[in-house]
Amino acid sequence: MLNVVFQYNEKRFYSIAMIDSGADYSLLRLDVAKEGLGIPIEELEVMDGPLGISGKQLKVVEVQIEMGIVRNGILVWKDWLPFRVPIDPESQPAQILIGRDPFFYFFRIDFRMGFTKDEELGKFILYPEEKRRQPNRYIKPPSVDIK
Amino acid sequence: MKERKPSGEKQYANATAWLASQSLEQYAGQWIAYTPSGIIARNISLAKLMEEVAKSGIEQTPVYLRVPEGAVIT
Repeated sequence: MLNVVFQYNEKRFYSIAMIDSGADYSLLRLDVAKEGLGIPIEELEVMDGPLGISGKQLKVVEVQIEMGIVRNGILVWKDWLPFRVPIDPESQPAQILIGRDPFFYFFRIDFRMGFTKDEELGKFILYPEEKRRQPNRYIKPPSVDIK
Repeated sequence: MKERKPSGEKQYANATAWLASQSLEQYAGQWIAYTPSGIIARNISLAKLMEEVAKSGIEQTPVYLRVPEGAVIT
């Protein structure tokens, strides 16, 4: 869980978001977008989003929102992030989800266990991404034909 | 010297520390608004919750959290 503050125009919304390395994009709940931040969802272009849990194609709008990370009472990072907002009230994420693109370009993220006595609890560690590998040096591993 | 109101971020840190000590199972599926002093209001609708917070006249900046169903935040 990540302590965050969203800002859209003059409206600020303090909440908690979940980092989801399995999500391609970040998802914001419709109620947070409309009531929390006053975003005029009806005026935005509807597009196809990710498949929902039921396999149904979600219809979403995309909006740029300024998001800050708050740590120990200090705003430690702030930038504009694209968020997709499912427009169907029945197909809302349980939480605000921070997906890979583009958040994982800004931070290297570890999930580490053993921080508490509760065996089920882990902890996300965020490191600012400073020494990114050069994409043109990437060599795709050869495919292995298993017979 | 006039006492300065803590910033939203500072209040947030205190509120987060408060939250970590709470069991929120009873609020599953609802939105809660909380400050370092505790929960101000709860509602299944974020819009109604924000109205209640506005009417309460509270000066502190609340944190809004939708408590997940079937899981407990610690």
